Amino acid sequence: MSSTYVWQISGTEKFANVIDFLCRLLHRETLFVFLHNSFSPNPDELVIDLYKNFGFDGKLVVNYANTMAWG
Amino acid sequence: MAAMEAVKYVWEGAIPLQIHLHQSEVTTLPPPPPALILAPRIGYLPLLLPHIKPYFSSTLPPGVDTIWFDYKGLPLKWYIPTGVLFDLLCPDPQRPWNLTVHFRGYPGNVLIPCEGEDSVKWSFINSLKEAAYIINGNCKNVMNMSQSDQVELWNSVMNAGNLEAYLRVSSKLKLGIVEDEYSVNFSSCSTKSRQGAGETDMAGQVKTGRIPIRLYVWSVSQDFDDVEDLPEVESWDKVSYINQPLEIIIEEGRYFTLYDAVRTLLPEYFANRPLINEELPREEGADEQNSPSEDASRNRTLEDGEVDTSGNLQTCCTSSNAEIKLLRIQGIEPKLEIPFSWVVNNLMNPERFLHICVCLKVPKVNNT
Repeated sequence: MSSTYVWQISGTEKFANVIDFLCRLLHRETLFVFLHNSFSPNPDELVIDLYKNFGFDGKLVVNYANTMAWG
Repeated sequence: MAAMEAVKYVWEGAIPLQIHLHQSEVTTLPPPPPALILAPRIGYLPLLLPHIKPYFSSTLPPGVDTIWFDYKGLPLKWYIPTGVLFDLLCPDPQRPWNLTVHFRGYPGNVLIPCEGEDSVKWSFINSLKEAAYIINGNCKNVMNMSQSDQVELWNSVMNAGNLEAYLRVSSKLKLGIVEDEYSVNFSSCSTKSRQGAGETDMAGQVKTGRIPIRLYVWSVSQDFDDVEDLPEVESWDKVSYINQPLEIIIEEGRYFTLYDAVRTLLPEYFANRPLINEELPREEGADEQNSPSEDASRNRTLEDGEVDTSGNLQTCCTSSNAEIKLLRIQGIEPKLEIPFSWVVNNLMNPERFLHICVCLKVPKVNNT
């Protein structure tokens, strides 16, 4: 079952904050978070860089999984 | 093949390390001597654990090992290739490079977690996928790798081992090389218009439009004549890390240089476009335009990072540009006028990213 959440984050934040936010939201200790259903960016990456490289239409779409999917 | 020579040098590049166990973890007297390790530039520090541990295992306090390193107190980000860390943090190259290793007390507030080889492999494969996405618009090729290919790829990288194996497996990924204007006919280049580098060339090599780049920038506000006077980075806050792909623009009659690439990646520092590139002698036109002594002086000033303000160049706006004090890739300080395509094809890391370390001198705000 999949769910979609939309929220805003400052570009100066690191991707680690996206991961943490999702973990807290979904009550998980760890989550695997991906872009384009395929790769997991380094948590130290800046959201603004990821958005510039991989976002479109004003959004950065992330996918999450409980297990190491697309390994 | 001549083209492979540079790649081989890069692959075999290594940093001699002298690794000291942090004193808080020394439980025996006398303390153990430091470990001397040759670390592959393209490798990652946590992968050295099996080589380092034997030196210190008898003196460590009880507990679970979580290895991490620091240089002069700065915890080292383990996912950055060893060679890049050295180029960034040691502008005056120290040989051997003195590092401190810790097996306890992982600084989770500064470093993302690392659970050994698996974490490094995960980081590597994801970077490779990210590069594939940048180059091809998708990472199907990496995701569809056979299990044995994946294993072979990782094994070849892990100890900067088998370059042939790496090349064999990575060529299947069709990540291409950047079209190098110097290895194809100049005339075929000139038919391309001002877009990204174009289509498959006659040799069957796919050219890449977007090039994955990781840029590490730190700045100084004072002038330093020598590299050894440059202050060292003391905190990760002082380093601007920029993960941004670049598209080479092929213009008729000139090639896209390393300097062009830096200017494109850091537009805010190079807003006023100096005419240096237009003035650079082309391969054929050199004797028409400049005398050899003028060329030499221009090359010299470019390497020193100072903008040439002689005669025929625009001088009014250059003082507000930043100056490149140091630019290192794979431990090399390439001349800024080198074709960027050559730099990419020969100096990129195995995950297909080009890592560039740059120190800029930024003019003070109240400069006139």
